[in-house]
Amino acid sequence: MDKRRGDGRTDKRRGRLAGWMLLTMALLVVGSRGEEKPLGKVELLLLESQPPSIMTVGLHIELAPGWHLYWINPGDAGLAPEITWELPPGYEAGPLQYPIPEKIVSGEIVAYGFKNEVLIVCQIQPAGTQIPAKPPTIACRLSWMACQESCVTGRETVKLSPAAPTAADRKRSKAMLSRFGAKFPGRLEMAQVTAETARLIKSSNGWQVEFPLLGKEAGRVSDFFPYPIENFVIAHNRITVSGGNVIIPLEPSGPAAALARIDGLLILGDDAYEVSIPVKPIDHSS
Amino acid sequence: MNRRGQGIFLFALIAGLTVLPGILSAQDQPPAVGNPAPDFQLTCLDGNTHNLSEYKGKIVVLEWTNPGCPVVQRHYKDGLMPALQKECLDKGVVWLVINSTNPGHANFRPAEDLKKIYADWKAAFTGFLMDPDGTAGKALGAKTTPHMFIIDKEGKLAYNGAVDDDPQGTRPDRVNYVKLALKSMSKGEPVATTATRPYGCSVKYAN
Repeated sequence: MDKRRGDGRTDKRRGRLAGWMLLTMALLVVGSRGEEKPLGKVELLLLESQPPSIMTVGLHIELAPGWHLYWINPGDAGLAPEITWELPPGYEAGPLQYPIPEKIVSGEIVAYGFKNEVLIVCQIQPAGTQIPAKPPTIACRLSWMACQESCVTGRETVKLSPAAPTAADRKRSKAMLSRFGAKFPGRLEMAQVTAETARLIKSSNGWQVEFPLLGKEAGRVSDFFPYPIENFVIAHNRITVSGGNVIIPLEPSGPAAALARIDGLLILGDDAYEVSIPVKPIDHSS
Repeated sequence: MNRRGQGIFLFALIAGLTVLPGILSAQDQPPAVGNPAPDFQLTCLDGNTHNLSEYKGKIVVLEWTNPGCPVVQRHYKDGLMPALQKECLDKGVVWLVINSTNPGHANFRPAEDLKKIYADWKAAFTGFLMDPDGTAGKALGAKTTPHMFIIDKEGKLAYNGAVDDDPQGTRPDRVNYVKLALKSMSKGEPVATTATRPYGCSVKYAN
């Protein structure tokens, strides 16, 4: 802007510029409200490659500010991501590995999910003893739900051709592993906490699973995030960790429902440890 | 409070819930299957009020909805929910659609808009009830849209959960839990699946 001019042309230019800026900002706001885009970058990365053909791949999803995607157990609401792999013959995908989710509470509704970004990891490996001749092209079809104040669903397909990763690809994968390494749950034996047999208690007040926590760090366990339980509906908002016991109220899907194990994450501060505990039924209904 | 806020507040008062004796407070737990469903009185889109208890003696399906939820939109636009509604109504089942979206939420729609949206979607129901302060939703434990409840002829909860086992809407062999439950109830047989995890958007209660 020319401050040397003492006439009104500068003021008029300033006024027009301000007007165009305001109009542009208004259009951007209107445009963004009309087209909610909760997901930013969605990419499939080759994180590690173990010869001859075992690959650890990561589905990396960036989220717009304020939005969240759901965990494998979304909680009381939401949809877990659904991932379908397109693999060439002779390859199979292992189980999905999620980072530690955060608990998202809205009144009585408890959900588990991820904000900002998430890396979902999976191992792709030969299905049998025969090793495929060439590295495959891998495609991942993702169906997702993301929520903020409102929710949006969508589908993405991302591909990876791991035949010849570039130096930039390798650098990116290394950075991703470094950034996310500490965000995945650890094994329970690393936690100085033990959780042995759980009890499934059926009473006139309802059903619940309880298990005691033992060990030096048992007092630091603040929460339990359950994996989905087939044939049971979990009351996520009433899960408690108190007095060295974890209590999970739940309702059976029907009279034939049975529970052999309870699996989930014990939360200690920013860390989480996977547990898988056998369940013994106890009937107090009389 | 600005004029829009005053209008929303006034609407909530007019369309609000009347608390009846026996209704659970927000602090109580919702009933488990097999227990009596709490009564409620809500205002319909046409302005009339209805109590759940007026339908005692009939099987009642409660469907929690929010037209701003993409899962609800899919069920209606794919024709799944209207087909289920019509099938149930033809068999004498009472079908109540309930909207517990709070008036301060972006998904809230006033009665006139809802009439048009659900008519365009070819929805079929006995009544469409407004629950803007969420008391009926919280009393039943409605968590998602959609979330389905079936009340038997004695007023007890017979089913609580998802409409089917197909959250993504991709499976042609989906199991419809509501249909299965109603089939068993019509034959006087026990319902095999009485509770499932509902899927969808969270109910937009005021917090």
